[in-house]
Amino acid sequence: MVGAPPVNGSVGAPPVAPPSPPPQAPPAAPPQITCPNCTGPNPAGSAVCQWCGSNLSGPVAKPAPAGESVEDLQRKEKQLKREVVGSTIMAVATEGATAGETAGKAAQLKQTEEALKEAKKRESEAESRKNSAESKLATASTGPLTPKKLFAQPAMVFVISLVLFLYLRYIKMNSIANWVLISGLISIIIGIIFKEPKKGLLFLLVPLLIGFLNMMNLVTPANSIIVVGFVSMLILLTFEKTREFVNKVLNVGVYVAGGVLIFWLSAWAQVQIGVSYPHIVTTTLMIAYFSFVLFKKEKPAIKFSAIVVNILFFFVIFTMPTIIAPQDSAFYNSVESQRAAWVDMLSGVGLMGKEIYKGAQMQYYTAIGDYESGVEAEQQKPLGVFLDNIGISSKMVQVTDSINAFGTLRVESFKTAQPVDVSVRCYVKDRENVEGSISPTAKFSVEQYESQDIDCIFPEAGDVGVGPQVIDFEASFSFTTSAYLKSYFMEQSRIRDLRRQENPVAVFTGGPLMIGLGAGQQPVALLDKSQPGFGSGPTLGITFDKNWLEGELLNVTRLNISVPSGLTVNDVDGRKICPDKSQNCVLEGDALKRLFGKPIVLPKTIRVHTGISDPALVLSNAPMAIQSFKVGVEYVYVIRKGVEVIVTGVSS
Amino acid sequence: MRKVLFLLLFLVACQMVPSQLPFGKQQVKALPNILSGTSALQASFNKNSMSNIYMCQQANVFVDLKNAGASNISGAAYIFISEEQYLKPLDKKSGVFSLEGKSLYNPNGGIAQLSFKLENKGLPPQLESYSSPLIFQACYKYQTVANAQICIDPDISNLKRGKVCSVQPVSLSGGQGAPVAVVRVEPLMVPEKDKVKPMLAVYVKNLGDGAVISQENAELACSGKKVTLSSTVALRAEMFGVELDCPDSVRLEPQGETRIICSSTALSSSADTFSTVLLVQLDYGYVTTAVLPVSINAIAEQKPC
Repeated sequence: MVGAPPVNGSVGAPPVAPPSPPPQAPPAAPPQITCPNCTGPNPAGSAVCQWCGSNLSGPVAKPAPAGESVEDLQRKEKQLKREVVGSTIMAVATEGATAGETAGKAAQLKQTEEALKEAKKRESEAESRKNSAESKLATASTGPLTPKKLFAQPAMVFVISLVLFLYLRYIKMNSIANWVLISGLISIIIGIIFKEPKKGLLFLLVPLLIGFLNMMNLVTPANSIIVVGFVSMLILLTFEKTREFVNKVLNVGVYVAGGVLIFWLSAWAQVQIGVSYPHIVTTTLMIAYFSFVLFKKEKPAIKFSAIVVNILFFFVIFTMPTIIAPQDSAFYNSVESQRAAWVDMLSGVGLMGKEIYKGAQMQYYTAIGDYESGVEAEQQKPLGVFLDNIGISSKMVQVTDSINAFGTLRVESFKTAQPVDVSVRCYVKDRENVEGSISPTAKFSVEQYESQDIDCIFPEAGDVGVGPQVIDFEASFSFTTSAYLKSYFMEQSRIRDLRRQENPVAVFTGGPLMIGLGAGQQPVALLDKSQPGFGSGPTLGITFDKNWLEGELLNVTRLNISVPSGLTVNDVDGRKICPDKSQNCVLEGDALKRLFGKPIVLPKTIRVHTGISDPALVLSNAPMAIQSFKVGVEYVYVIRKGVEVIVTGVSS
Repeated sequence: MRKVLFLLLFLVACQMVPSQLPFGKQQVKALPNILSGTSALQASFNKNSMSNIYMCQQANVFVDLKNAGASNISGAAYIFISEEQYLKPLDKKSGVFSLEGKSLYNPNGGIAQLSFKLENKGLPPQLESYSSPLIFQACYKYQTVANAQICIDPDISNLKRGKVCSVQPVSLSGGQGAPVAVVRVEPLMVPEKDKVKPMLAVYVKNLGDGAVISQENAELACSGKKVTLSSTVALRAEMFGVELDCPDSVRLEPQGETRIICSSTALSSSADTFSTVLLVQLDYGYVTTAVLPVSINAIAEQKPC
């Protein structure tokens, strides 16, 4: 066949196979012409090519040689396109004089395009042939997978594993020794099953990774399982048959159980690094995951599964935390701390909501003139009674066991003349009659900066009740808050044309209760005897509100209202409950109960109507006087904090 | 050509002689403008005053006084006001002082310093610190003298030509060396039978930091005596030596300008247009106030005073 002229062939048709080299012309041969199609030599004057049968007489388009690369052909095609366009323009310009040349170039372009198509096809076939050949070459180099070869490599692996196993045992690294042997055996089995013993060797990564974990002191059953799972996945990914399946499983798994995985991995990471990193990291990841679930286009069934799985998981985490890991294990503690952080976060959101509500309420009351504000003195100093680190020694107890809850009572920077007496109680939430005993003592007398550890013991958990229960710690204490309002007094006749003073703001001493005071527009006008309304003084508005976010006002035991010299307290909220024409009014007992009601709803504003008995005394021989209204209130305040316990077993 | 250059140089040299050579004319400094500014008494607590004291401690305070206006202050009353429950005065809290105003001989005005002692009498219960103001108040008589060049034109029909001036409002900015200032004068030519009556709208405003009170009660305002205060100003105006017909006293608007109308004797409508000086004199009382917040702090474990 080599060198034989083709029997069939159409003009311009590119050869299917690489063209055979045309015969070499003898040196003394008569003048010849070369076929533009196959480059074969032809006697001069031949009309048809003796090699490929192409027409030699006319302007024959030179077919693209089969040996030309795709890039060359593309370049050529581009060039021809330009030429055809140019030639067409010329033909138009010369009124058809160059039409023949244009037609020839167009035919040449067509041939080039076809050649390009063929070349592309050839290239892709060659690529696949090359891959196949490489594969065969690789097989040829190792030889066919004979039973001998199939078992020779595993046997080698086995021998190496055995030697390593024995050595590691000898140097007392038993755990890794076991893993070496297990991995070796599994790699042999995988190699034989899939008839690719080399891939089985990947399993030997297991002892390496476990060795690394061991070096980092991180070998735990969970970590070992994770390593084995990881390597198994790696092996499965190397097989074409399983790759797609593993990919799908991984994709769906991550989509459906991503939230669970993030939560577990976060807890696991915290256990491993031994540091409780900010919970906001996990929270952010979880939010990102849920956004992904919500916005990714996925089959409804998978989306639904993802939502159900996550809801179920977090329901379990929040209701039965002990189900996730053995109690007091590092993993349990880690998960529990994340859970607690979320609970705190939710409480924080709740408190924020309360604050917003309180702000709006304050604005409303201020707008209707039923709220007086005040500024806390030395508010930058921490002040208060706090129940910190509330916890429980055992989250899950049997009915016959005892419950031991604990916490720290902290008192910060109280500035009172008398020490503060704090009473601590603990009881089952919403069942105050089921009380635990407080140790070491339930009553503390605290001055400044004191901290005391307290324990609450229920000798028998059955008394508390079976199931999840909340043990509330309660610290109540008596406290006094005072408030002062500076006021400017001036005769009415002087005020008229003098510039008005800015209304001063009341100052109240720190504590759980806020006292706001207001005495109307300043300066306060003192009327002359001849003027109508003489004798009536300013109305003092007193607002009581919570100054701390936590806790509640339990009871008001004493209220002392003091007005400047020359003024008297006439009535409180229209009730004549103060001694007649007195500068000080002290309210206690029933009078207070009637004034505040039960339970006390805050904010509470009362209005004290005053009278002016002696304007000269107010002014004390000056054109203007600065005097203060004073209010002191003694009350009982209570703060609570709870801890959860799960009582198991059957109650008697 | 050389001659021309020489001549030019000579001329230039001659030009420089009077002003730049030692034997030339000396420049005379302009006289300070006494009748400008909007201040009267300037009172401020001296920076050496004790504004931070410990509980039960004595505080010495000093008030710097300066008469930055053009009128003299004589027999001015002052008083220190404090929250006596916590800051009890140790000195007499009221008194009298006088201060010379700005003049050509004393262009800065008179200065003086007052001292005052107080003592803290304890803090309210549960408080570690407390702030209470100490107020200094001075009440005195003051005077504003303003003059404005105005145009009087009885020819309201505008029949004459070549008038020396034209009737238009005159603005007086920057004050007249007193807190109450004449800010604007608007001449108005009002026909009255065959004559024309020049009327002047004088706009007055309190441009100072203090409060205006009537002149009669000026000193009483700083005492505890019963007195009715109002921001009234006594007014007197004259033009070409003749006193104008003005209200005796005017109550100033709390905000903005107060308009006062003064009228002159009627002029013949054939009289010539002329320019003249309007002189306005305002007499009133003024209250200047300075406040020093005194902070009282308790030392840890300090016992009551």
